[in-house]
Amino acid sequence: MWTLLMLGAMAAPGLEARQQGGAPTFCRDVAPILFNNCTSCHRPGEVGPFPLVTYEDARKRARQLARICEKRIMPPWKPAAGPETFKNARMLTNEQIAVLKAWAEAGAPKGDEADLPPPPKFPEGWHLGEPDLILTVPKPFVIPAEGPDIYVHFVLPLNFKEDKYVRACQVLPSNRRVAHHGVPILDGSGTARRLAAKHGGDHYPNFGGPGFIPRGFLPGYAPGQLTKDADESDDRGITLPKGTDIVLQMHYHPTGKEETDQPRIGLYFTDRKPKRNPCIIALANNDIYIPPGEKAFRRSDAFRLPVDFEVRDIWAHMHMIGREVRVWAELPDGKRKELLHIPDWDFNWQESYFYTEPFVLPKGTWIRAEFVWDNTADNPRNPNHPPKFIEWGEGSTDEMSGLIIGGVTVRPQDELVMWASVIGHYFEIENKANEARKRREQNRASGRR
Amino acid sequence: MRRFLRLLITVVVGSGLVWQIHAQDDQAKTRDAEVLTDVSGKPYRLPGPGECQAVVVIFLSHDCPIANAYAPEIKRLCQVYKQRGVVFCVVYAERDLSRETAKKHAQEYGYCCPVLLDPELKLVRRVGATKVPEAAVLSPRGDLLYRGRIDDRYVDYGQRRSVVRSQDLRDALDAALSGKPVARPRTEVIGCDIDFGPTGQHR
Repeated sequence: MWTLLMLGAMAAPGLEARQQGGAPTFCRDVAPILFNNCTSCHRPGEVGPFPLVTYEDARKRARQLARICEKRIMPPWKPAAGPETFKNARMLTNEQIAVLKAWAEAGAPKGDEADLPPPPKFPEGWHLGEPDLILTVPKPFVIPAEGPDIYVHFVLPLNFKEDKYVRACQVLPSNRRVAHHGVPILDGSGTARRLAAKHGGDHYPNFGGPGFIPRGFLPGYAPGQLTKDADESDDRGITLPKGTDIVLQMHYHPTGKEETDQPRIGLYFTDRKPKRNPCIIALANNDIYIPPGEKAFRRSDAFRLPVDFEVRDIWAHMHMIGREVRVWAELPDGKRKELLHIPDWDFNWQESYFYTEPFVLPKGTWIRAEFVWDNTADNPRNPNHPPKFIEWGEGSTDEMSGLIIGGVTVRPQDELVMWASVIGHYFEIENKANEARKRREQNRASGRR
Repeated sequence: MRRFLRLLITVVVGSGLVWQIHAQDDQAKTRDAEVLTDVSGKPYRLPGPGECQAVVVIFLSHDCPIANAYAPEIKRLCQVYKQRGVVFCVVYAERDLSRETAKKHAQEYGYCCPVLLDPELKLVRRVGATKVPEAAVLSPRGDLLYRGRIDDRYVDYGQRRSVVRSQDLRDALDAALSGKPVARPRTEVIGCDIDFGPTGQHR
């Protein structure tokens, strides 16, 4: 009896200490983590499948939250840490993950409501007021109940008689529960119109990308993202040359029931002509012919900068069996700079990454990209079981490689040289792939003989 | 020797009686766990011998993305196995779910089978489910023949197979309907934890 009392007396202070300061509470420790990192998607009506706003939202899945964050499945963020950071990074620190774990282990205590920060507010509707021009996708688009993620391109012709300058742009899905992201892509070639017509209307379902070399991009949609007004800075505005069509690429994720979405784009114009216009660098290797069982099929591409270039954002593309992508720059002085490394490619989480601080790569820099695919049965995303030969193509069971780096030329007068160089490189990519295909066919024919 | 035999008989018969009483007790509890309320508020008892060839219970929650993604497959399975005398039920394994929310969710996802609520988690505990979407196959007598995933399309959270390779629930049902033992009677579910309340006790 005496011993029991002794033990009780010894245990009590430890317990008390844990309740007072030791164990994290929802109100004081967990809510700030959720509000700053999760709630933008995880709130009613948004793409996150359940809200993470109230204590009850978090308590009932406390252990699962800790587990998923510890595995870094959520928040979804694919790039590995490198010398540059990204503005749109969604990452928890090790300390934050430790808090979630300790909280779950302590039984998910609520704590003192006085500690609870106010839940974050997100603007609704048009963030900058009524736009100067609203483009609406003509018909609601149906997202089926199941199947792979969908990439669809809606063609929105502008038919402008003169160049216009955009200071802000907002993409507004009508159904945010299924909209992963949306990117307005500029097409001056008329290709998108033709693709849509071929598909019988105003959109085309190209899994492999827009199907043309983008003339540029407008700011897109990501859950919780604020619309920025670029009028303050000299070169953040974007020129819409006459004859340009906007092609809205939407990424949808089937949820188990049929859904529809009819997105709109709001454009805000300015009279001030941007000093510099956004340029892109496009890398790819279309010589893709991946034998079944191939664990690491590699392809690379390289582009030499014809002028000084300021890098602002980067976007990589592969399909289902893509495994890894690495992009780096080799500077004229021999130094190497990592630009992007995605060690565990996931088609469903491809997005543009915006560098926190844009940086200049000098003329003569080689930009190199290496893509790796895994066509084994070990790869759960393999569209074939058992694995089959996978070739280059735009369908969901084909493969592609692609990389787009966005930025501006340091000198406005270099834009044309840059664009010509990018187009030239595009034809090089095509030629290389065609030659490889011919060689393969010849080899096959001679093998048969 | 005779005394020993008598003792032995007493022990055996006695323990047999105790076992029987326990079994009856268990069965009563089991039967109780098999009566739930459906989304319209009516009591629903899981069908028994003579009423079906097997019962499939699939536990759901209204906001688990993995459970929701399975809705089309659940509907397909329900249609296919109905013809073979299998009764499917989907059961919301949520303590705090209102009937209105459940009803709206069931309508949106178009489940074509009885949709039940288990706020006390009694059927959940009876079959030992811990996740959604967890499936259980019961014989008409109420024996648990299979408990686990519907199939292997999820490898992990956020990692979905492009091609399903193992149709675990279908395999279990096919075995059960042909009177064979289920080859893998238990499989692990990738899904969302069932919330057993602030104390977190499973049973």
